[in-house]
Amino acid sequence: MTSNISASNASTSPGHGEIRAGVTLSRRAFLAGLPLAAIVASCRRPPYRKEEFVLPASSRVALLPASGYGVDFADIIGRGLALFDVRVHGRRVFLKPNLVEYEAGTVINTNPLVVAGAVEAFLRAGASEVVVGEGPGHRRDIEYLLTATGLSDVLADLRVRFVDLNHDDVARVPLASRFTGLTEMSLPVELLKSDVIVSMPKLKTHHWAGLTASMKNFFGVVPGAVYGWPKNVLHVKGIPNSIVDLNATLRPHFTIVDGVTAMEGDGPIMGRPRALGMLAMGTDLVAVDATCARVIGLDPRKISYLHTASAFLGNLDSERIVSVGEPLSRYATQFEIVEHFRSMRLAG
Amino acid sequence: MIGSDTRNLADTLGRSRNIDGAWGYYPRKASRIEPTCWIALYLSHAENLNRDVLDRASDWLASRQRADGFIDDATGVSPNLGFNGLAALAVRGAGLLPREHATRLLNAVGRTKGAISGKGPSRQDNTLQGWPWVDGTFSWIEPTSWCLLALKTSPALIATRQRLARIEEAERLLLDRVCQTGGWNYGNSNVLGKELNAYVPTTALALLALQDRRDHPSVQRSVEFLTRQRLAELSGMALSLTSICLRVYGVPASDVDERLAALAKRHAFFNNIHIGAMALYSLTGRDHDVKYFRV
Repeated sequence: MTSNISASNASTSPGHGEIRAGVTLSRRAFLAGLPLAAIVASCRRPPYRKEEFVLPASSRVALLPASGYGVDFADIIGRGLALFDVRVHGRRVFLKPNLVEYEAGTVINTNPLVVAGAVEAFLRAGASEVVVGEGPGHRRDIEYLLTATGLSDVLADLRVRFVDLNHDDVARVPLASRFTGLTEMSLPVELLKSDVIVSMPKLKTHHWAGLTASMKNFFGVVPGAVYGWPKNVLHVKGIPNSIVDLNATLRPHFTIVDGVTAMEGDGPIMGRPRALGMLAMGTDLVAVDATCARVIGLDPRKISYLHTASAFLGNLDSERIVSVGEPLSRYATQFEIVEHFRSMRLAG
Repeated sequence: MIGSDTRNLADTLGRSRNIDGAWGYYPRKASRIEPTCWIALYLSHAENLNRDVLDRASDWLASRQRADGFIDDATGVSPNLGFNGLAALAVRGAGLLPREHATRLLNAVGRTKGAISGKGPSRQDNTLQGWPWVDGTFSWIEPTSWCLLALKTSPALIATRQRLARIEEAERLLLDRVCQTGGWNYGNSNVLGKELNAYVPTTALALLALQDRRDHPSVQRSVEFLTRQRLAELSGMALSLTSICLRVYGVPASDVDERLAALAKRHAFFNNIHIGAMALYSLTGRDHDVKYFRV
């Protein structure tokens, strides 16, 4: 049985199915529309073991200035790492950038210079190896994406290995939460054998999920050769459900969000560039994404996967998030968003 | 004839064979359907064909065939239908499996359909059923094209009525999804009121599947798109499929093969065996006239 995260924000089958995202129902209407079995099911225990997750009393989030892509990212990310307790020395670090699609003049992907800066920062911090990997959800053609975006040249200069997660060997992994109804997933072995997993997303609006940042980025670790493109099995199981299950299972250690130039409007592919001039970092991905949502004028409580994740994976309430870099107010703005997500806007 | 630039690639692929007789996507990775089928397609035409190598690849594919007819990568999830479409094409073309195995595979492909969805955010007919990547999901251009091509190239292996019905519906789906510019994106041609861009590899593949419908205006427009954009995506996958497709359509495109050979020399497709094999098959197209891809 699939336990849907949120009746009010569940989205189905992007590209084909009916859009239910962003539809807000009154409690009475919601209950009236549910069969009794579903109401009973919603009262059952959540689809994860509470004892396996400990919410921190508070979470630190760093917003650090990066005015453009000409800055010294290794220095900024190194300073960011120093603000957090991330054990890197002697460990193998896996960087997961957002590499989805290529259109000249757009900002769909994590900028390769940010990835390069992270590679250098983790090596300086003592990592035994840094590996970069991605399994693009749109294009199968990883060679085209790597060369067109310039990431292959950057990694070649740094002598860093890239792993094609869409076509890697896989291992069956029990899921730590089961909002999708799945009990296991086949995930890439190169990712699983890493000691430290780092999300490196581009900050974007997303026309099915509202926001894509640290947590949504993990769609890219799902191997397309196994689950199809654009990771269609997960769309059928529900995007928010899948995001939570992946993050609960992988338990990423750190995130570095490329918000130097972000994307607003009809993201994650067809939106417009919007300069923000910052990197967001932290060990609590829920807290970092909630902060990014607030920066771009969205209420994180209305982004269903963040709302669900806040029950067991990380902190969402602003009272539980401690800013250790620049104040959120320095970057706060309002991004354009697609019509059906207007209800996600922060009040006032 | 294989040039010296690509001979190294052929040697590399030969050395990358796993002990089980098949190939993974990358060296030292588990054997998988897609790279093994592309290498088999290439090897079956190779100048100095080593029959034993081909037989061992065939044995591996046969060992992965399930009772329901599908060939399985043993990843713990449902078989990938796009790869089974390619396998059906390769099995029939290169004679990789005994007829009864090939028939079971074709019938498995023939009876599978993508899920139906209600009216969505796109201007398209969501009741049409082509093939999904994975059973239980929606139809996409690549698996639909592979499976359609497999059915069209194997007329004797599947009941006529079933075959024709699947071909007719899959053709309608592909024609329903043509982008405004001609050519194909991955699934839809538009979403939330915006037109989507067509891509080179998907366009080449869909055109191969529709090669017997070349009088259709959408097919003609898409051939024009591919001819115009043939060098727009410089990758082994895009150039290989474009080379095969334009050869089938009789459009001269020696520049595509030149770029493909240059990429092979430059970075050998980042050691991707699947792409290297595609490139070898395409670069030797003049010798075998890409006959496995002809309907």
